[in-house]
Amino acid sequence: MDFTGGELAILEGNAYNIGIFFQLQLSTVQRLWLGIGKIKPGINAYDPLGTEVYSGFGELVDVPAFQQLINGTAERIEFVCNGVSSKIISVAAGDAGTVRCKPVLIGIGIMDTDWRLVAPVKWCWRGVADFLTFDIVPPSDPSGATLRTLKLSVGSLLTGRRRRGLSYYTDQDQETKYPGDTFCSRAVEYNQLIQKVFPRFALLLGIMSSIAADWIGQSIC
Amino acid sequence: MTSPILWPPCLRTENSNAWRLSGNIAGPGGTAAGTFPVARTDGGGVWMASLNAVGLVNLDALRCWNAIRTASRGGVIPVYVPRKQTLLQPYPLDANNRQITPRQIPHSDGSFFSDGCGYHQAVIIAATVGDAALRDTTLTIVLAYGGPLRGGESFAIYTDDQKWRVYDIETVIIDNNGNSVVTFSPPLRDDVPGGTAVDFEDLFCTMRLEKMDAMDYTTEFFPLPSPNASFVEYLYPP
Repeated sequence: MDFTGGELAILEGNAYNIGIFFQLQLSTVQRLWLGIGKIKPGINAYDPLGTEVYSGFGELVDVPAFQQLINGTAERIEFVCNGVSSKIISVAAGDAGTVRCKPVLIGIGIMDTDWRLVAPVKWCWRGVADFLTFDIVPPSDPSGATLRTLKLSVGSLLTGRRRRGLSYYTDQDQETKYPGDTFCSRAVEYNQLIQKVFPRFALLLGIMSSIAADWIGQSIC
Repeated sequence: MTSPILWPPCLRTENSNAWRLSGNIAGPGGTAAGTFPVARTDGGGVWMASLNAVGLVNLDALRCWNAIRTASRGGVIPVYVPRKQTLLQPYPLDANNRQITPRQIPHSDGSFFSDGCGYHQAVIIAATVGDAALRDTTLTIVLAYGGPLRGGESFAIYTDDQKWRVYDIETVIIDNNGNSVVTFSPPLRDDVPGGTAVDFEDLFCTMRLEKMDAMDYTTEFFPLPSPNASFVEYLYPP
């Protein structure tokens, strides 16, 4: 990740403005950022047209801390959005499965004092969405409000090594990863749990010896 | 798109109001060099406003307050919240160097309506020059009729997507054409085409109740209550 001279000059100061950007690459890419209102960050590695719009404030409350590791433990992070409406909860419940295995990107953009991006957004973390959950916390007293929380669990590339996710070659798993791919459509035809018994060579050798002896005996006679 | 509720004139009687841009600032603490860097991630901030001690002069005003509180659905329905800046509006000056302020305009025969009110017409006429893009912080404004801008004033712009939005002027430079090139905050909430009217008199911002009980009050029968209301800016999704 290279910073331009302008970005470095800003980062060397004591106060700077940063834009944090989030992408969830569903069939319709969801673009969010931590700032207020809309923003068009322009052309970058994952926004080829330059006219893509990111929504802000209230859509994404915070981005969890993450780290870029070498030879470290594979990371899983959770994005939390508090205070969502009941309508969003109902939509999320119905579409929770659509986020599975979809790429998630986090990027940063350095901005000047007028909140203009100095350089294109730098995408510094890439993960894979796993599952979507939601919590509904009822009010503790009649004057309180119900708190609805939406959580998206995202893993890094090697998160599923020990807890296997989509590692079975079933038709459902293959269709989830690659819709329309029928490579595993006949996987159900294969039987499972068949013990293949190898022959007992000692018994076989005895039988063969007996047959050979009979043949030799007949030959002599 | 949900149509906002207009804060009615009978409730524009607050004793005081407070407007501020709220945002997020984070810092890692002190560095080895002895500095304390801070970073903002809010993209310019969001408006928060409070109307304090709104005078309810009669029972109709009290009924209006209750109706607005119910209609706003605890903050789900947006509200056009007025922003008063009575002493800062750039009114033009007359020959005696006095500001020409709006007055009640009577009928042609000099009479007014039965309640004593007349017609209202804005005094300051201003518009943008050239197109401005989403999140711009600079505008060129032509004042067809108005006093000079000096910085520190506020103005409002209406767009179809984001409705009314309020901005605070930071600096003013007069260009070769006599127009005012202003820098302001927060960044524009929407694209603003050239020729868009800029309002310096009746400012409104599209907001919602800050929380469900933001318009609640304790019932007083005499005198009538003077409740408060607090709001946070409401942004329409793209």
